[in-house]
Amino acid sequence: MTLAATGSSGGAKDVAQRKLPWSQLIAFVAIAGIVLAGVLAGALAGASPQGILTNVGFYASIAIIFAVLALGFNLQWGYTGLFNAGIAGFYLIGAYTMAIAITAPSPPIVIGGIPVYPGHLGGYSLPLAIGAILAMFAAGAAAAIIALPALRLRADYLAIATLAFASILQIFANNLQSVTGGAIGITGIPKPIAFLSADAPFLNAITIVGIGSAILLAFLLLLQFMAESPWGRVLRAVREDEEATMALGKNTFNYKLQAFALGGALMGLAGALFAVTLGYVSPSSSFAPAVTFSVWVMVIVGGSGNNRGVIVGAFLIYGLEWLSVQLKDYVPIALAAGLPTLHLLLIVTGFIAVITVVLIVLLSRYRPTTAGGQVLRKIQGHGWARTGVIGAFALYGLGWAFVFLEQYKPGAIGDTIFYTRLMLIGVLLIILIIYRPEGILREHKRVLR
Amino acid sequence: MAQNSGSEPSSQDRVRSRWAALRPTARFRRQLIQAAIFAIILVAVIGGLSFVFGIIVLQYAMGGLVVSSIVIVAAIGLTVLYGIRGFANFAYGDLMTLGAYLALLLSVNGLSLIWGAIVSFLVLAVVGILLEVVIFARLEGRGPVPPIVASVGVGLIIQNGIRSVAGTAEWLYPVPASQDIVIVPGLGIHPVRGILTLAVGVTFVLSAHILLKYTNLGKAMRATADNLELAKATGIDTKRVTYAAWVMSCSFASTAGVLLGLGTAINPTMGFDVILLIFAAVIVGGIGSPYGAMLGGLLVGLSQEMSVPFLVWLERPDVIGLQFGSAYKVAIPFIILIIVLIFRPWGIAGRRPAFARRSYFIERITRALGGEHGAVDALAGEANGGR
Repeated sequence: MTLAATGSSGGAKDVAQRKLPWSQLIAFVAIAGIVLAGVLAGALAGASPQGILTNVGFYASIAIIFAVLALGFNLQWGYTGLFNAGIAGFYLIGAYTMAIAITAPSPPIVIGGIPVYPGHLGGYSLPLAIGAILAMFAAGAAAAIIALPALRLRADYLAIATLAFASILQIFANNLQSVTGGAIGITGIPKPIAFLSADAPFLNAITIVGIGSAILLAFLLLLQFMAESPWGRVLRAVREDEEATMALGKNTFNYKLQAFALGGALMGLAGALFAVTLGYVSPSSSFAPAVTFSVWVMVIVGGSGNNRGVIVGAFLIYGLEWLSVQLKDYVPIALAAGLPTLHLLLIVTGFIAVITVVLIVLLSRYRPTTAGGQVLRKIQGHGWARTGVIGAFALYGLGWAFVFLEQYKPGAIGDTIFYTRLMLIGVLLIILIIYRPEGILREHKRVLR
Repeated sequence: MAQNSGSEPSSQDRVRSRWAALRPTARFRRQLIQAAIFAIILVAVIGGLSFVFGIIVLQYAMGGLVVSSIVIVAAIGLTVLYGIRGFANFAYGDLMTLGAYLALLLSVNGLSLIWGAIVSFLVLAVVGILLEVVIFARLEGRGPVPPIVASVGVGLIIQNGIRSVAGTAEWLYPVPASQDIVIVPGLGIHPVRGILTLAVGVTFVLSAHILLKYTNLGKAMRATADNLELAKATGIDTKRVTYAAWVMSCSFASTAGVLLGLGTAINPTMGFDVILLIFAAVIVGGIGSPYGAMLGGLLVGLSQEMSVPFLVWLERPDVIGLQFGSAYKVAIPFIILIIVLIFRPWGIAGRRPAFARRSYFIERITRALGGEHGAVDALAGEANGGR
């Protein structure tokens, strides 16, 4: 049985043999680089230091929300192997529950016989903490209900049922005006602390980042504790071999239900944080299926089954999204200004690269013992060198693609950057699931085979 | 043919005995009878409803039939791939969108829509093979989830690629506008959106039936869907069958996309918006079963369209005063899906798995009431029925 050799990490020998965690270092450098690039783009666009800090705070708070979502999905999929395709649905339930619970009453607005705002359910003005707890309960209960018929079946039934659930919820949010406020949604969600001074946005961003990181840290510790407990061990056993776990006398259905409901509750908490961070909820792209897919990428990039990993993944992938928004206005202008230089640079680089490659190939063909020949053999021998060369060529091609796009359809990059970003997420999903399904921070191996 | 011709002179006999188990069985005859009963009930329900509520019900049923024929074409394509490759293709809706846009591109540039649809049918077949070779062949044997993730990636690339190339605006096929043909007052059908769609749907169902039932390739496909290892052991070239499944799946997707675009308008999310309906049809019919997909598509499409008058009735202030009632028609397939998942997860036309988990909780109740046979009985009955 594979469960025999569980336990904490190995002793001194294990530490001595540990290699430098290159992929982790690269991930952290990448996050720092993303923040730096965003700050630079803001500074070049002439934003005030406080404005830039508010913007970075916005990045941090949304990334924390995505990290909570990723923790929930990690509990469901990373630990228990339950594949949830309706993350956006539980997120939506949390956000709307929070909004309904904590806002002040807002009656329907009718101007000249035309209903302008249909009003919404609620207006209970509850404290924020109670709203968040209600949001967790609502989303957890919804997860348990949706899981009841689907959990006994194969993983793809659960995926289809949850996907369906999420899209139905979006339809309800859009049309059930008396509860959700229709397409306008619910506005005027109170902030944790009501600042009245001129720099209120900045102070709000700071408080929300503070509260969010406290919640994230608390749940990270809690989940880490739960994952290392006997309960977490059963979850991993269910993921690895459900039949064997059943044979050991565990009621696997109950464990699966608990994990799925708890994951759903975490997604509800993320929704509650989202409602407070933005100050309004509406059935917009915030709850589109793209959110679900982004969270998948975060968990797969970070390393499913590793709580710290999925948080890194959330900061990294949301960082790319944020950066694309920051650069949306700046890049086309800079590109248009520097087009001739860039053109020349690309041509010269390409020329040098082609000559070098031809020389090395010829040398290795006819003078295999010389330095050039050995370089090629080295490249062929090392996986990382080959990947680096391919990556360099891909970047070069990307540079040309940008130049051509900007030359023949000015402004196209700014217009399509959101779609390009989603395409990039699709490419990342495919490449990661084929070549590196374990992610950057891989799950700690506890199993002897 | 290639997969079952041996070198020995007696290969014909061996082939005959090898395929003997695939002759119309008692189970198939039983399914035919079930389908006939289903059809009679359907006609009786629609007839009764229209007798009570007037001819408007027939008009909605007509709309439902048209939607069903689109859903059925798509569901056959999805379920064939599901049966053979064993994963739910979440990119299927976006493949439909791709097919619709390819036909649009050709028909806007002067080709007639028929030729555009045919070219898009062929291009999508190639796309299917490419997807298998480049992506999905590498994910074989890693369970159902990695291919789902990869298919979502494919869907994102297609959908957003279309958005960035063609924009988010809605398009219409350049077909001549025409009036509805009135059959009886109050009941009409559009010549293109109605009759053509129905005709194409019926043609595709019939050709899928002939392909699956009467050709060696179809028999090999059904055998592979039934049991991959056994099919390999029998000497079926399962690689070829997989390619055939991708070709069939993606080309059916292209035609379903064109029909969908004819019915409404063409936009980048048109396929993703109906994927739920198609999944519902596939699961209701039983995953991997093309005949089940036909039945499921009919049930799901009809019930979605025929729920509209009921939802509009709910909109009345003296009932419950629902706003935008007809927007909820999309929820009907979901409700059917959940009911089927609870009561008959193997589908209404699918075969109950011989070693089904004993813990389907409704099954526990039915067994307690003495209404259900045990799993061993079902297995024994199946073995006898097959001979």
